[in-house]
Amino acid sequence: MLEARARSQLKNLTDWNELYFRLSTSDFKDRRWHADQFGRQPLSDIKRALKYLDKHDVAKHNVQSVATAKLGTMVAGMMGGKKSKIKPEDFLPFDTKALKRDSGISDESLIVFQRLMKTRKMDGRVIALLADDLKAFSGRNQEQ
Amino acid sequence: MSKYSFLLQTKAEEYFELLPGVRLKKYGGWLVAEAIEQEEISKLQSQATIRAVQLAKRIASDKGIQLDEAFGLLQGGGGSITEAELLSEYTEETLSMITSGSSVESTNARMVTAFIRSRGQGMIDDEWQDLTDWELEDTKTLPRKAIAKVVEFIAEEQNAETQEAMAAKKATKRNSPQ
Repeated sequence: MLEARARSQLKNLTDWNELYFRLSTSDFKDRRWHADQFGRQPLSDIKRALKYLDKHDVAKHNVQSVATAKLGTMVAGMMGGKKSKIKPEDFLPFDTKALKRDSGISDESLIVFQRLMKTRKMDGRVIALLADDLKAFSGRNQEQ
Repeated sequence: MSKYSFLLQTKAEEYFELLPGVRLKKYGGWLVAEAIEQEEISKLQSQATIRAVQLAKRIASDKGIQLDEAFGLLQGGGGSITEAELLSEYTEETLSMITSGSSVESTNARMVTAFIRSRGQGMIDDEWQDLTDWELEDTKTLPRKAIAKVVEFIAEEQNAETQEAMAAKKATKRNSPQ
């Protein structure tokens, strides 16, 4: 038991080298992640920076792929005709619907909102405001 | 809004006064260098534990005794075998265990050194200067009371970070409807 705990502790050590290279090689060239400054940064800043970098990288790769995605949509449209429902988002490397799920209104909120729409009359302006999120949410549900 | 409003909003830096000429900056959490030092210590302790368990297992099987008893022997608890016998039979393993094991004092000294090196400031030539070259040898010259105060400060900083994380978690839960 003692040995197992010690072994699991050894396995769970943070790979500081990996974190350092991840931050110091990011696009932002922030001085805080230079070798002489890295050790003096608060852990909370490191966590926030890593979280932000993950989102930023996804957005960056998607933006860089927009031209190819549009071309793909055009070719698919030409081959599939007018009924083709393929959108540029379908060709992006990262799923934009999943991204919205992370950063937009939570699915739980939308379930509550849908229930409210069924049980009582909702203000049209509120529905209009959430229309895109609702549509995306229904789309996700249908896919699943 | 005034273009200088950010100056008014800036939070003043807080310090923990260790000695009249030495202070530590408060961050409300640990810094990277401090966390690395802590993990290094924890790594050494885990390795020492593994070594001790393996030696205890070997003694138990060689001598035909219970593992608990073998542990007791390693801790100098007496029993059927004397310490001298144990040392002569398992010289290499026992010595390596003794040298690799770290006491509470040495662990504290390492952590105190890391904290002073990464956030400590000293009054040198009438101005506060960073103590980035503070060494373990310097920590050894600190009075015991000062070491205890830093150890308390280390725990406070860790608690502050944990509490902040918990508050953030609660706020997220509160903001997202069930």
